[in-house]
Amino acid sequence: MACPATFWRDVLNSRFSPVNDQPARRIPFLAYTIAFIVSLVPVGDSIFAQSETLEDCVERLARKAVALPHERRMSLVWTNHAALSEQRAENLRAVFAARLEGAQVRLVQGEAAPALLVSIEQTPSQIVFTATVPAEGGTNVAIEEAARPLVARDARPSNVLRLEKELRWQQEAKILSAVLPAMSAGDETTMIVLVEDALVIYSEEQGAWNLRTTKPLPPGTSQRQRSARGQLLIADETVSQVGILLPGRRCETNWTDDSPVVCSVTTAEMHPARLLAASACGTHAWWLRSDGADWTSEDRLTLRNSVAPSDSPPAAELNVPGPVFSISAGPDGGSATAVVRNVVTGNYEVYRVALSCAN
Amino acid sequence: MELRASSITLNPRRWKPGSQEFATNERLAELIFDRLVALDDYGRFQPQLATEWSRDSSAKRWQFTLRQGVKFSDGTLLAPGDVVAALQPLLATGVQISATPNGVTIQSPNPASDLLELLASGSHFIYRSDEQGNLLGTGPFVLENSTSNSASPRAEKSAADGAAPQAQHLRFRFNELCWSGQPYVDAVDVTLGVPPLRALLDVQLGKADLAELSEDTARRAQQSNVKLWTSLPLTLYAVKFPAPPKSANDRKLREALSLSLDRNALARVLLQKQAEAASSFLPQWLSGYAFLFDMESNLERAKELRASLTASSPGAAQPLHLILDGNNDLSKLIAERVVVNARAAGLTLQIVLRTAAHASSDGTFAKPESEAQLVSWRYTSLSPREALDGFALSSRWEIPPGGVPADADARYAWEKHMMEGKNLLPLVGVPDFAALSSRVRNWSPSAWGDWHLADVWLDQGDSGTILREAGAKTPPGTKP
Repeated sequence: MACPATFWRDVLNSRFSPVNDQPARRIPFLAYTIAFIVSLVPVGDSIFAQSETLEDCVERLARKAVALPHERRMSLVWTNHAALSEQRAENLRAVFAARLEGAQVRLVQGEAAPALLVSIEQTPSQIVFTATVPAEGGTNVAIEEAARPLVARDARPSNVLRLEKELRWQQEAKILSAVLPAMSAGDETTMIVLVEDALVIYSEEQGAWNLRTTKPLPPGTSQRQRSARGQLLIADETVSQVGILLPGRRCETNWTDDSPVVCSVTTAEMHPARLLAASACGTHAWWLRSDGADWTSEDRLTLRNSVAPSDSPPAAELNVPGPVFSISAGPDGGSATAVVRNVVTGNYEVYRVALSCAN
Repeated sequence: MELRASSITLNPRRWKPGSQEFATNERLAELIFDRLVALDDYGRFQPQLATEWSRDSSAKRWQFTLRQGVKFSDGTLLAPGDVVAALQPLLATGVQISATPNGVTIQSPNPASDLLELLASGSHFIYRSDEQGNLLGTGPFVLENSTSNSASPRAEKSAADGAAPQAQHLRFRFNELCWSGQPYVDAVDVTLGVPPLRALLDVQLGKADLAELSEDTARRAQQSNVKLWTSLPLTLYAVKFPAPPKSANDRKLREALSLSLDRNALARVLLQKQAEAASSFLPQWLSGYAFLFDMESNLERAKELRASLTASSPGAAQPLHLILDGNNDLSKLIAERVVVNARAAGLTLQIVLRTAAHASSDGTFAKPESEAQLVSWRYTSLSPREALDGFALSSRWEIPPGGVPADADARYAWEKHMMEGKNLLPLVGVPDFAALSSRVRNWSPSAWGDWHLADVWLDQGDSGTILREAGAKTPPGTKP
């Protein structure tokens, strides 16, 4: 059976493998409280390391450059080959230039002066700043390195864009994916939940979700509990149709009636990233993705400009209480539905995540 | 999965730094072992067997907290002592690792600011030996069996304990005890010793899902519908001299040879843009400062230097031998281009296979002054210092007290000094290549060569073989 040609612009999946399905570790609140208190106590170098910024690094580079034999008048050539935004690179350039001018080095433009070349490069773990000053028979070089995550740490999330979350559902049984479709704008009174062997549809009445129907997945689509994965997609054209991506299969059903779930073999992939867009937030589309660090720890949803480099700093971020298992697009392109496994309770939670603009 | 290497050893202590075999061994060891930490694509260190770490302000003392409840594939719990036993032999002289109640402490006599890079790469896996000498890990797979042409009953054991020279087929099945959950595929079947062209055909015919390619077969793959993966330039090809120049004449010869080399043409024309010209030992992607090294090609200056060589100098009256190890097609190709470049400057080079060089008529070895060697070096560490250290050790370079500096300024200065000695003339950096079948999903390798096979799953559209699901009868991710 053919599926709709287009589904809602997808959001993205967690970087966590849904296969990594282990019983949630139930850690007592007391332990968390103690851990939190302990984490506030300055411990050796961890605090020291966190105070480091790229600006600190550039200041050190400038001090080194000043210490090299140099002319009093130089032209500064600033090159950025790393995953730093041009704005950020320009800010660092200003820091560098200010430090040099404070050391009585006059930076000139458009005049014949020896070139002070500064290059920002990137390795798997470091941002590498090099400053090269002409010297007799060659060049003198100063190098500074900074950990790459400082790029994100120093970047200020946008004040304009904001991600907000709202808990809509939770249960102990594993949820593979969920969507909150709407028949009309702003009307999210239905929730479709994909579990390992069925599609479960709820309706909201007086603030409570009531089970409307359960549609079993057809034979041949069952998955092993630990490796089960799937993703729900709502068609752009036909909101009443819901698509289900399972490993190697694509299924479809009309969630408003009693029609069965019908599946066919497919090569379609569950995409690792999807787009959000909100008209109030300009014409940009945004990638929403999880930023999981550890499978047993809290996670973070990040929003990045779709045309920016993949490792550019996020425009907005949102903490969630556990690893993100799936994200599905919402009905208006400006929201999404995220399935999170709460690391404290072990429950699977469904959040509505909205993109808002505070202009 | 089909690999070029004809043998493997999974014991990290036996891996030879810089060798292609190291990379193959590491790739397979990642299936069954874990490290303390991992580096993600965004430059962030992620917890693996260690969940927390901290260091003192001098970066000499590091403390790691181990993940609780992690089990080896035989069900025994991971203990700090296991980490100590696995890592101590792999750490540099003077670096001490000791167990603490919930983790380990690493104490270095020198600042070890690159310790996380070190532990996230190379041979720094955590494993232990069982009573039979088999190596056990905590990773997503376990070595189920290995078979060889000779069907040796010892093959399975020897593969597990690190020596599987005869094994040609290896089967890794999922580790149900893995702390990070089960991988998508039930098993990975590995065939060793598959020539790249055959491997490419096997992918095209659906007989394999993942295959290691060479640069020439990668070009073929690009022209077909096969998905091709290319890494960063992970293997350096270079001309290496056995010792520092002993005379001004010797130095002139090396300078002339260096200036005669057209590295850009080598990378762009000969290797059809599938390689990068190299001017230093550490590549740009690893050091961030390789662009500072001079890559001058100056044929006129090379000719001048050639003209000033004494008549009896190697490269002038008698050829300079360019020794090749083994029967590597790419090495031959590069060596031939080096000979052509040198000839343009009036230098005479003669390619000699290693075995032939040792079988000279008088039974003696050629004089070192008349020898250079075309070498390849596979980068396997994310620590520039360790990469440089490994090469310097193998090349018998004079290493400063305290080892190669970790500090970037000092490391650059030292590498520059060594490169100016003209013991090593870097040529090109060549990436790894792999072909993937159309049903491989979630392929998300690191640019520096980790394949992350535990994250890969296979489309079930048709029955398949390599990255063969453990039994084609029970496709991965479905109930039997």
